[in-house]
Amino acid sequence: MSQGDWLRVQTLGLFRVWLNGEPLPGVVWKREKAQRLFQFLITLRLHDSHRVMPKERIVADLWPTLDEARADRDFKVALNALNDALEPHRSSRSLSSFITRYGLAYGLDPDADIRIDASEFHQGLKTAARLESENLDAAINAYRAAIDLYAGDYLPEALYEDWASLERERLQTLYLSGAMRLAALLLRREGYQESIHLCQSVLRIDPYWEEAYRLMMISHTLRGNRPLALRVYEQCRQILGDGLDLAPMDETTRLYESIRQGETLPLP
Amino acid sequence: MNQDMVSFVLRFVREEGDDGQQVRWRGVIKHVQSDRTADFARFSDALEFMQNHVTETIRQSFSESDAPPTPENIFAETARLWGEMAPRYTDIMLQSMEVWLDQGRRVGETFAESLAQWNAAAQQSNQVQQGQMIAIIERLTAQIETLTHKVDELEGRLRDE
Repeated sequence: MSQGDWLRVQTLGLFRVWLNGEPLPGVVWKREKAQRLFQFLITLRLHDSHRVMPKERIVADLWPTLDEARADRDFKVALNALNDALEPHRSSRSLSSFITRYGLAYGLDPDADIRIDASEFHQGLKTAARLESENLDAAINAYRAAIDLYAGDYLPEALYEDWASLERERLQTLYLSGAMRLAALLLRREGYQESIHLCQSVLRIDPYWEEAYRLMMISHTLRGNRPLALRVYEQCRQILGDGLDLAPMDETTRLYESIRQGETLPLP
Repeated sequence: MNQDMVSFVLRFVREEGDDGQQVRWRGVIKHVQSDRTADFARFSDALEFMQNHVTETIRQSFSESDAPPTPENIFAETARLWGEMAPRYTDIMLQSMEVWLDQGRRVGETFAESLAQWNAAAQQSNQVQQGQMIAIIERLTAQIETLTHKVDELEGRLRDE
């Protein structure tokens, strides 16, 4: 690897890696374990950019059923394959520029230029939240940019892995709250259709997210489609009742009554 | 090496009405190894979901071993596991409860300090300032009422469980 090389990693919806802007083909990994090890180290970095983990713990998380000798051997093979994939022209004696080692602990080099979509997504949401009090349009654009990065669940290939589940959960809940926040802000700029799309996307993940139904009811009403707004309430009532044996919250029912009686709706 | 693993991701969602009076908890639980999920409004449903998956894993482990998967030994293994887990679950709920109560105490202390400051300020300030202070205290009072309501609800749920 030469000075200035950089990696871009997509973890949301799909797993893809670019080296200096060029996509790494799937075959470059050679071994599935090399790819898993890289994904594990990415997950570690998302928690803390300076974090390293002892080899035994990495192995215990990645391959819990292997005995110690086999795990040790597989780790070395996976690490070599990973280094080959990320730095194909690196000489065997030179150190890796992306993966760092402290004693028997490993992690991604905190100084290496590695851009991870999940990290940019989280940073984008934080920036958007900060902008809300200063500039509504800038905040909306920042939320849009962040939400667009969420192309799906974190590392869908590692769906059944313990170590990936926590990050997947964390990012999905960030997406849900970020999307709802953007959907609410869009109403102040008459972005009703976009707001409805966001609510529908949230409801595909969590069909009981009541705020999404409320925002859709407001959007449809403000677009002049009161019957559809009232149907959304019925849909909410039915889904909550069938799935959780719950009635809509008072706030949702009050909103329904206001729409039914043609009252002016307050923006959230 | 023979190792079975059963993991769950548990999400609680708290929903509050705009007036802060109505608060509701619900959740979703996911069994990681199968990616199966279940939504719940009562925590006992989440526990049942976990128990079903754990029992299924135990059943599978028996089918791979020499011991026959009779209802008795499946029951014995399940009971042993839940016997270990139940006290921890209680600990977790009690710790959560303590966090709520601690927050309540802190808000109460803040309220008391604000009241003391208001008393001091009231002696010196004009009516406009006093009005502002009263508004702040009213907001704090409303927050305390909301918090008390939440703590009561949590206590009620603990009793129900």
